[in-house]
Amino acid sequence: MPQIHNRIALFRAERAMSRRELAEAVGVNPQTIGYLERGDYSPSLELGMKIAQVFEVPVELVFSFTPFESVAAALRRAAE
Amino acid sequence: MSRFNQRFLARLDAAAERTGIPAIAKHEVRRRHLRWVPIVALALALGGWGWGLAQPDRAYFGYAAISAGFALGVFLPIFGPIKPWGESKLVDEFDRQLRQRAFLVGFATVSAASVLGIWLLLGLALLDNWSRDTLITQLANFAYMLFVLYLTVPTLHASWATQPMAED
Repeated sequence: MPQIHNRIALFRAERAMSRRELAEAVGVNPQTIGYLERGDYSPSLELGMKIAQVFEVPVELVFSFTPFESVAAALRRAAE
Repeated sequence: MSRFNQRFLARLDAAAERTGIPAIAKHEVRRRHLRWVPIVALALALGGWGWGLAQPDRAYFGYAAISAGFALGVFLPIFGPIKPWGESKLVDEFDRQLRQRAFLVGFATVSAASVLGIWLLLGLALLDNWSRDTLITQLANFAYMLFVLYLTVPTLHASWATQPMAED
């Protein structure tokens, strides 16, 4: 089963949202958000879409089969 | 209500509080990863069963060891990471998947141990010419050991399959 990478921690930090707040918004335990961020658990389609909905972005911006570019690399590329 | 009855009931309440059970019933039980307790319980149960097989005349020592494993194992579903069916707390998809996998491993272990154990008992009974009473004692020990496996293996799997997660 391919690993699903995500940017939940990044979106959460951007919105100053705690794990508990995100967990309550999507109806899971805070530990589950932690396991998702750490890559220990791949979410169901329903949970993935709920998380993307909370961040108001398309689901492919939060989850990907390939690793996401780091913020530093993205900023460097944008500055060029 | 008479003063005697009030005092008597108050003392009964205090005695019940001292057992700690009402506290568990009132507050949320803090579930945690139990990595070593199931190993100790399993070692006691398997060691006791093995002792009983090696020393059929003194199988009661083995029974005592299995009982010690059972005494530890019976607390694992209460304090371990697997949330039971029908729990009042939120059980999300991660908890359900963890529980499903843990019990799958647990049932597979019990099934494999049952098949292997029956053949082992049969072989030893034939080789050592066990009496009917000895065979009944051995079968009872074996069933008891299987029950300890059922209690401990799911918690063991769930505790080692995931790393504890700190609150943020």
